[in-house]
Amino acid sequence: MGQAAAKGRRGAPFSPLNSPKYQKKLTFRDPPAGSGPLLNDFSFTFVAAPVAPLERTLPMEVVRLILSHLTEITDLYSVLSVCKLWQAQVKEGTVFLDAFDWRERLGDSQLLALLKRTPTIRSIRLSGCQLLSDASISAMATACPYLEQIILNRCLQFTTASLDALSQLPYLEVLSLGSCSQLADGDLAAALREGSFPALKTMILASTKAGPATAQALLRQWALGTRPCLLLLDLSSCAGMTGTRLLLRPEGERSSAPPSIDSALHPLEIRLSCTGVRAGALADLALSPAIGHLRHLVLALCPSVDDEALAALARGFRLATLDLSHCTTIGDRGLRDLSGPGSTLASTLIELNLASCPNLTEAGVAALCVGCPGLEALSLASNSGIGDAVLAAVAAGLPRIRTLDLSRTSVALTADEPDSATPSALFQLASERLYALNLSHCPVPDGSLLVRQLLPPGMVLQMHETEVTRPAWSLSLGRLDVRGVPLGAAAGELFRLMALHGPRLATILTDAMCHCGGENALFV
Amino acid sequence: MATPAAAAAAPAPQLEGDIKLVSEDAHEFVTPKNVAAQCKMIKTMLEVSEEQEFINLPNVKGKELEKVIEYCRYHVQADKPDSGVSDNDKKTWDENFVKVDKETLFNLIMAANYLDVKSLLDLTCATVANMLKNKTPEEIRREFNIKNDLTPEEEEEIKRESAWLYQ
Repeated sequence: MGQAAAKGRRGAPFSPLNSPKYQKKLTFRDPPAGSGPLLNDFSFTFVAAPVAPLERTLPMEVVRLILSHLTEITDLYSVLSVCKLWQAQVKEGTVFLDAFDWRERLGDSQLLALLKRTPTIRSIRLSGCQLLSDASISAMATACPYLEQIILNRCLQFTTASLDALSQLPYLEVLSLGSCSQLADGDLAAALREGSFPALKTMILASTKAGPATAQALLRQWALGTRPCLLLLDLSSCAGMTGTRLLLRPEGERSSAPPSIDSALHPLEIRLSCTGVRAGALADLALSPAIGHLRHLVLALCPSVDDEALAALARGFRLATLDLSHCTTIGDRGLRDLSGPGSTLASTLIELNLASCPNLTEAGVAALCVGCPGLEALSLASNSGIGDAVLAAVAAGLPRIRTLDLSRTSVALTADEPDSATPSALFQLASERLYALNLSHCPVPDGSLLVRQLLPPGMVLQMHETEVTRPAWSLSLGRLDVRGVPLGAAAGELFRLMALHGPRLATILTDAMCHCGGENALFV
Repeated sequence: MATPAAAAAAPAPQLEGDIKLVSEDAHEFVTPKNVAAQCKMIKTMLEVSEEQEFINLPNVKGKELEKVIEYCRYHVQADKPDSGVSDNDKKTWDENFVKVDKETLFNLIMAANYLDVKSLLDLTCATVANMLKNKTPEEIRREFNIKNDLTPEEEEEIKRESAWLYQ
């Protein structure tokens, strides 16, 4: 029987699952009378054969797939005590465990017992499990060699001894140590030495004591090609990231990077929001030839990122996305440097977030639109200095723009003459390029351009809390979000049109529905 | 689900036209090739030989095959980037799609496994997993008609090990 079963499934590779030990049959109740033979010629011996006309079977790989969707520890223990077969499948098939709901009770002994039951686990989330210490976290490395993802946010008891143990895991791709404030910068840097964490792709160190030493250690290895898998380094809210220097090569050393570096490096993302990173550190980074592979940079909420920092970015960085939101000191001068003719960044930038940068003016944005023609997404949200002129600049300068966020700006859509025959900048943009436009909280008056002209099909338009009091939108919109708009009497008309064009108007989000005359509006 | 969408958006030339799928109980379904190709197993067969007019599927019954085709047809349309179907809509559709009796659900799993439709296999397996959630071992055994073959010692051990969860 065992042999026949092992051969049963044509082309299936041999696995322990095919071994006689696991050749067991699951039976399910109530098969319909006269229904067919086994759907799969994979067969098992019987664990239980209740008196039923026909038994239905699921191959073990499918049972394992089903059990792999269980992530709750209580469910896992329930399944473990169902039968021997399922116990074996848990052992071979559990992939993901989330202990968040048990963070206040999960101690070392409990975790160790659990890991013994699930040695093939790939991903484990232990956020907030403050009872855990080195004893169990170090043991994890030996008990579960297939771990790919470990989340240890706010586990405040373990030390770098645990990190050393985990550093040998061959498949570990994601390590998150957010808010683990017991780990000092130097210790982290030492734990992340060359050769440790060989598969590391994502390193989350947000809100830790990580500082220039850690950043420098990791980035140096990355720049030299000895940590080629690294995709994301998150140092957000690290109070220690205040240094003015961030050298990727020991000072004085003049050697260039190995020639193979271009092909070896993946695009890297660095998150430095809420840190004190300065122009000097960015200028240091720009010196490394590897910096061209840094594709994404988040500098949101960095009070020290100023116009000088933008100028540093323009000298060597080749970013695709850049987040400068809430960098309140940057102004038009920095924007001109960023997009000027000498900028390395101008030709590579695809997404730029400039939300809440109050010193920006329309002139600066106009320069940006001329200098960075590759932009596909631009956010200027919450900048009161931005008005209608921006639409013309965007329409003229950004041929690839797809997403434009102008919420909480001074855009009022009144720039054009009411009887103008030429299409306004907005509608030129909308009909040719834009996929999503956000005009929420803008002073768009009733009777604006939106009322007079139609937006194209498929577009996403957000207009929370605007002052439009008539359904001033095309019903061919892909998605319309008008939460907080007082629709008033216009609601009836809107809903009548919705009924007519419903399928084309995929989603309408509006809480105005609740207070707009209810059913007569919906069923006209 | 992004990958099948991308595959559907750029159909290879040989995926034009229809193909006849024949189920185990001899039901025939004339299906556009790009829909049928959502089943990796059929896609492979189409790639091997472009000329065939029908494919016999000896392990799938008509009822399930019809469901699988319904699923593939919906997702070929909905997963296109410009379909205007939001992720929420797709989720709702999927949820309704698996609102079937247990027997059909298991058969659907077997069909998805055999035809190699990964997203459908995930969906159906997740649905069965949901049926296991928040249940006692005894309830699970009853639901799935499984006999308890654990020794009292083994049961006791698990009980002891998991006692901290129920304090």
